[in-house]
Amino acid sequence: MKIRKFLAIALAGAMTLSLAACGGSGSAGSAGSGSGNAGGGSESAAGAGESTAEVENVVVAIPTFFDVKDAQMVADAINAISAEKYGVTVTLEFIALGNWAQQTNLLLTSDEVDVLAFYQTPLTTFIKNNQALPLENYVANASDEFKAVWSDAELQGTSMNGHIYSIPNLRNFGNIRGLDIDENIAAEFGIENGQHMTMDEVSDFLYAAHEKYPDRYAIVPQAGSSMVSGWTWDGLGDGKFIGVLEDCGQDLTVKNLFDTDDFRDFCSYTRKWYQDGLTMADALSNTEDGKNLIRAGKAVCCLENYAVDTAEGCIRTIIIDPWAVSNSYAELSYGINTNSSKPDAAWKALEMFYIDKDICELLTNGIEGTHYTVNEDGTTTFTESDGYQMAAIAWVLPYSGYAHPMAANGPTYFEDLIEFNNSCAKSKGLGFAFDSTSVANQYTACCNVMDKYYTAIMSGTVDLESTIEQANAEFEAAGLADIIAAKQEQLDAFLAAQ
Amino acid sequence: MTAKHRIGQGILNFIFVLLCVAAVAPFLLLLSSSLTEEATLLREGYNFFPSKFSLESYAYLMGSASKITKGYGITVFVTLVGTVCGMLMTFLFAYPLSRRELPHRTFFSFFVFFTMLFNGGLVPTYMMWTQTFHIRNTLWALIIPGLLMNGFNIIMMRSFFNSSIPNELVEAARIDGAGEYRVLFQVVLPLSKPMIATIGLMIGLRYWNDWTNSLYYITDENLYSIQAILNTIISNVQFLSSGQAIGSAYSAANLPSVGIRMAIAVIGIIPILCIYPFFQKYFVKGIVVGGVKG
Amino acid sequence: MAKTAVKPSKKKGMKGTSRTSLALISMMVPGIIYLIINNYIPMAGLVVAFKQFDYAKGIWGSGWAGFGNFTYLFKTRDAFNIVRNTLLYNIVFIILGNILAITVAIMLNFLKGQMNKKVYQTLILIPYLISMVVVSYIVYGFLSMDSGFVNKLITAFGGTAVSWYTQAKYWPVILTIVHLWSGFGYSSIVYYATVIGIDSSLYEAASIDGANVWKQIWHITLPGLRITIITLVLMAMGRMFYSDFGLFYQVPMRSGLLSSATDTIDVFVYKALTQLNDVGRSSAAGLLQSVLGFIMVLSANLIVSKVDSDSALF
Repeated sequence: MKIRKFLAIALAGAMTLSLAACGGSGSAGSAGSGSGNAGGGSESAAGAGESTAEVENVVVAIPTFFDVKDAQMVADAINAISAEKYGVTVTLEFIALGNWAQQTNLLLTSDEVDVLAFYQTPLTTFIKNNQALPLENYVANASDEFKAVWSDAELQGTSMNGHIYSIPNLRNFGNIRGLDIDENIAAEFGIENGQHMTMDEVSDFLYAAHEKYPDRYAIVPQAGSSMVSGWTWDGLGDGKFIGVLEDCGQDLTVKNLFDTDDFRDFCSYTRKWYQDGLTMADALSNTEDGKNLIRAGKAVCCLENYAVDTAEGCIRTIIIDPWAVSNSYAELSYGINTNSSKPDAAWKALEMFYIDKDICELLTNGIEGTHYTVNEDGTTTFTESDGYQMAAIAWVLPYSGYAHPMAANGPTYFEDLIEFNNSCAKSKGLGFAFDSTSVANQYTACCNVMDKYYTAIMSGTVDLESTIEQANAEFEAAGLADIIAAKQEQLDAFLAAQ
Repeated sequence: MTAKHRIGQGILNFIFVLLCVAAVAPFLLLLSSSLTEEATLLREGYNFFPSKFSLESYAYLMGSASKITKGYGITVFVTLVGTVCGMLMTFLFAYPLSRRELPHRTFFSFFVFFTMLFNGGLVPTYMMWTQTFHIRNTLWALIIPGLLMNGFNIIMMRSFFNSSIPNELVEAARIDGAGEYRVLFQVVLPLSKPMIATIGLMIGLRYWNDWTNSLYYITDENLYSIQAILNTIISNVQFLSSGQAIGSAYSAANLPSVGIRMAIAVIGIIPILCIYPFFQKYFVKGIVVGGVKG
Repeated sequence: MAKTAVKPSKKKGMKGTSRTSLALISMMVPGIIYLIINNYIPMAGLVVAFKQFDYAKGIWGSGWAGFGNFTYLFKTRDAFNIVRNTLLYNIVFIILGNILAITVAIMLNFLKGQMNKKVYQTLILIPYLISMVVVSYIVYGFLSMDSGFVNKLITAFGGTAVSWYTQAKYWPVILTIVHLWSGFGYSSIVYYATVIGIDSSLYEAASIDGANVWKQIWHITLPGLRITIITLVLMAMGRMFYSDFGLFYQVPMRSGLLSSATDTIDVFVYKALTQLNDVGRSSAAGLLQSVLGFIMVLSANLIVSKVDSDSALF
């Protein structure tokens, strides 16, 4: 009796409060949607915006690994140029990569950020959640310099249903898969940088190295528990590889990864290595980077994906020639928050990051003399100050192509990078990205199964056949067939439209 | 009898020494790995005694001293302000709840209890604090959301008032003509020292160890507390080791090593270990657990 | 019952009372405002559990999804598994955690000497201060395949090293140990605070009557702890469908092979939704956890109040 009365009062109270809140937040919510609509509708004003004298400030979120102490100093230097030239100023917010997914997702609930990288979560998710503002009208009216940066075909990679949702950034779109080997050991075995190796040769080398250096692991994961990031299968915009194309995306049938020959071949090697004690025993609970372990003298080599860059203390060999997965362009791209209250200004800021050489230089290298010096060959060296070192991870920035490269990367780094992108093989599904909305429940369930088995099988820690059998049974129950069918259907439709 | 007693005490002390070893050993492991040379740590794993002693992790932290000292400053400031405000609010809320004169006492009790069971989830809470109050990237964001007051502390404090503040004393003060606020601050407050110390320590601990508010509301690294710095490093490492990083152009060598992560964890714990003994005698007296309706 | 006794006096001093209640309520104003802003208004946001959340439209503008956001929780083969894990771990944690804490508290009470008591109390609190992420590194230090202490110990005694991070069967025990380790100091002190509050003359009287230590514990200490135990257990039951995310996600080093033993509702939801960023679905899971927990507390409290109404939470 007593309890019921208390509860009635408590619940009534909570309801009243909730209702009151409905009123309050309700208006805030509809205001948000209003601004969203305004964003979509005001695109025609993009051209007219330039004539207005008012300088608008745009918040730009960029992922980073480092402390970027001098972000404000660099932003001031950029603003000194951009306020007059483009009518916008920027506030640079550097967000740690480890916090990125969480923080940007919260930021996107309101207009606290205007321009940001779409990263870590598939672009299709951002689109489905209506987090990314369609940009095609802006792109259509963009300057010629901007249009020269990416071709229409390349922009297809960040489009969906006829809308361009974001602009790819400059980084390697394809990857070589190879073996990073301790440079001294490689020299002993006569293996050279850039040499091609087959998996059998890799295997022979590992056994030989293991014999000679029994105290070291012959092979360790590339990073943490991940043996290598990707191989010859294409997840079609899905980093979990639930339904893949085999053979570097050349075979157009969507298959269960665990049933592909590519996957079984790879794992038959790693399984053998693990059983014979070549692989780090703790592969599944490792938290170190493979190259750190090599440099610390704990490992001989690790598998790696790379493009035109080098690794300190290691030589790099090639096992799989460079190729680009379907969603290469969409993996990291820059776009505009749908809730942005000033999409036009945001676009101007975004555009200038791709076309203005001085601004690109500032955003990449910081301020000359303070953060870096230029060497005779046109490369840069960091100064004592560690206030701005984004050049070391220029691949997260919108476009660094105009900037001076770092000395470690060589004077022609960016030219090489662009050449690498143009020349590397491409998946036949390039530009396609799978939208999991229609099979969301099955997808969630399959992700869980994949998380359970993928790294374990890849590292060779568990028996291949029996584990795959077990995993496939779970996949079947989780509805993998539905996903593969949906993926195939979407892919066919995409190819037909090409 | 006394001999039997002595044996009993001996056994008890022995058990407690074991318990303490179990509690402290992992901490020593942490300490020792923060004092081990990096390459050795990678090669040999963690050891209770550093096989190759090195202060490089701490030297590195001193090197980024401005960041670490700033982080300490933020942590101390936020802990102090948050604890004082939180204490005051909890105190002012719990005391009336303990008084029979309060109308709708049961309603208010449930008003508190309800918050212990239900919450709106991250996104609505985030929108509330950022869109209405605009606390993002301010120190308020580290102090206000979530941590200021919680139901458990209120109910505990209320139980303390019920059990440890004699009603006659309050009545006597009121007959002398003291108003409610005077009763509260001149009669009740001096008697509540153990409670204040206990709840203060509990609130303070939460502030000291909190990193979630930084994760949700802070992107300006000038406002990072010690725990936020540690958490950011660890989540960066986790992100890299998850194999999700695209391209290969990142330079993992720039990431703080295991030794440094351990060193930050150590310097985050030490101040609490130094302060706790001073609170201890109150701590035990202050904890009173009772029902919701009281 | 007590109320009727108080009522007459209340009516007599009506004037004074209304001023008193006004003063008392005024004290609570800051707290009430805070709870409304921080807790109650966001609770209205729970409605998003029934919506297809659209970032541009916000919580209120998004379209309805009915119970669509809940279905993924039950679509998988793991649904049973994660609910079972969550409940079983919580039950084990509640039972063992309380037994351990009460035992330690009682032992602490029987201990003589001020200095050693103080040292013990400080030291056993240390684990409580170490964050779970750091704990996960420490656990790795013990369990790593070839440099971990446990395996060093096993091989030293001639056994073969165990690959802890690939075999799920060990983890219910490991996680229970880690949980007890990290929490026992704190909860022991909470119980100890109640134990020392028990009237010491009761013990004296008992020992004069010839009751031995065990009898004293059974007839005096444990009954004295009854309300504290019931309160803490009931409160823990409200959290029955939640789990310590750090413990279940970080400590197993996210090793997928362990997931059948380490996935709880929170971990599953987190893992399932990192790719989907689906606010609606995560709210749905949170709402379900709260409601089920609420029902648990209500029913447990109902039972307690039938048996022993003084100990009931409300």
